[in-house]
Amino acid sequence: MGFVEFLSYDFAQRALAAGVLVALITAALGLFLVLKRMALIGDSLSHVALSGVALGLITNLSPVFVAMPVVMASSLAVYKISQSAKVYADSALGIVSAAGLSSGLIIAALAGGFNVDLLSFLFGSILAVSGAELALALVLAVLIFGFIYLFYNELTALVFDEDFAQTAGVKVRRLNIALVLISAAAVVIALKVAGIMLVSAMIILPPCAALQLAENFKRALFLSCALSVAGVVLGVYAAFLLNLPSGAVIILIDLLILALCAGVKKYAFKKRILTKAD
Amino acid sequence: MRVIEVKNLSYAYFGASALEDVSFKIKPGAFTGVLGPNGGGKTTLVKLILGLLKPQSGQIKLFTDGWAQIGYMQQRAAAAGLMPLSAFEVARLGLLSTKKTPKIFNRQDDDATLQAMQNTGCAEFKGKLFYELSGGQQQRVLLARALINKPRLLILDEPSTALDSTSREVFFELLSKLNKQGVTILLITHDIGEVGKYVDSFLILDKRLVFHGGKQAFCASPEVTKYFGPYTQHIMDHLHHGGANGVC
Ligand SMILES: Nc1ncnc2c1ncn2[C@@H]1O[C@H](COP(=O)(O)OP(=O)(O)OP(=O)(O)O)[C@@H](O)[C@H]1O
Ligand SMILES: [Mg+2]
Repeated sequence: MGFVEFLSYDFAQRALAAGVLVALITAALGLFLVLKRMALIGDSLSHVALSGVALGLITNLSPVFVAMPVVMASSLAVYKISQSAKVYADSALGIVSAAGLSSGLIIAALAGGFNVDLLSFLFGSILAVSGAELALALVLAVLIFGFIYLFYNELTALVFDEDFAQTAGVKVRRLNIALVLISAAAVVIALKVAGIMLVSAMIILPPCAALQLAENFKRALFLSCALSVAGVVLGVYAAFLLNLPSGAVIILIDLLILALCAGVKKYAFKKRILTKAD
Repeated sequence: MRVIEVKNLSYAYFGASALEDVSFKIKPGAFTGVLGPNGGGKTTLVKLILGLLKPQSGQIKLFTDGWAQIGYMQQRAAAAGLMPLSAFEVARLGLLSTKKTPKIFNRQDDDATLQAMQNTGCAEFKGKLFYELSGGQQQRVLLARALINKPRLLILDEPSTALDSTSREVFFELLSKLNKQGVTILLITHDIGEVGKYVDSFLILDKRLVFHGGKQAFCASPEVTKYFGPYTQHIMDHLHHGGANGVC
């Protein structure tokens, strides 16, 4: 089936729309998180999402809408624990991750093991995105990009140097809390696209690829979003054609893009050295 | 009249005391050199003054009109990491404190940034990525960032460690000029000989306040002699040869 024909299907349109929105959200937010060395927050919160989703399935409520508050509360726990001076931020992520994964597995076991629904959340099922989920993704995208636009320079200062940001009157605490809450929302909304197993890759890979090439922050932000969208569009289509889990295909393509960007950088660097040597 | 008033200030990290019962006042226009051994609590004091740490007992009063009036330069160019910001963009962040959300920079801000970068001798690499600059170049950019909003109080934590000797000279001349224009300066340093020429008072911290006073008093003080022990003479020589107006 050609891409144009694929596009004529309702489910495909919805999948791509949701995919593109999620790609934009995770790529933009991910750039800040990667530079702040908080990249693994996606990993940690997605494990918490497992318990949220399992709870949703067991209570017959919408897993995404149950996972949302659970993951948001846990993101605040991540923040709180990492503020304790005797725990590094990455350990805080590990602690919350452990809590999420263990309780998720227990809830799943109580519900009678892993059923098809739970598996679809583990690996992503972008072709099954509902209208409500799409609407939620749209609202979140607007909120997150609005947030980045309004606080662009403050976020820049925060990521660059937190102590300085505070002395410059940036509300560091509030901004950090906003960042973890937004990360929570992004992880939950990305579940259907990438799946619990691979959500964090969407937060890490496109920003890392962009940072290989971009020579300023705005360009890195733009490039991160563009590469992420490319990965999702190609990935969704390829997953459909090959009948593979969408999340895994998207991430594989993101990995290829990252490798390509790193290669381009190396090549450009070599060329620069050579032309300088001439 | 004072700019900073510290009263019975104590601070401990997890029970390990870093500052004990420190009290002093800084007058407007003073250029104070803060000395003391590694771990003496200098950086801790600065962080307390800036509000990055909360006093556990005692109090700190600042007589400036809010953040826009304080310029701060850290001991370590904090984890700049891979953040792709140009030297210019980093310096311009110094203007954040003068803005209300949404904090957006305009042409005037850019001009002010360039001016500050020229003053600290880093305008020629304004377009370069900050993380690709050398340590000393980064320090100049951070100094530009600290000076850009024309602070009335400047707090510098070992600002000259990464500077070569020529830039160091230029750097201290610049501070001296600012000081003459009325900027109060708190300069943490280990290089007592170097600053002797420029500062007008000393503050020695070793958990407790060992000494605070002018250069004359510094040279005559038994505490200083006791504190620096066999090095006292060396230091006094330095101050003398450093051209400290023959105070010692
Ligand atoms: N974040 C921290 N956690 C625990 N202890 C700390 C922390 N920062 C400083 N300390 C301790 O507090 C004491 C004072 O440290 P501080 O950094 O203020 O010293 P300093 O005078 O700036 O030293 P230096 O000349 O090496 O810069 C030291 O004993 C140090 O070990
Ligand atoms: Mg220090």
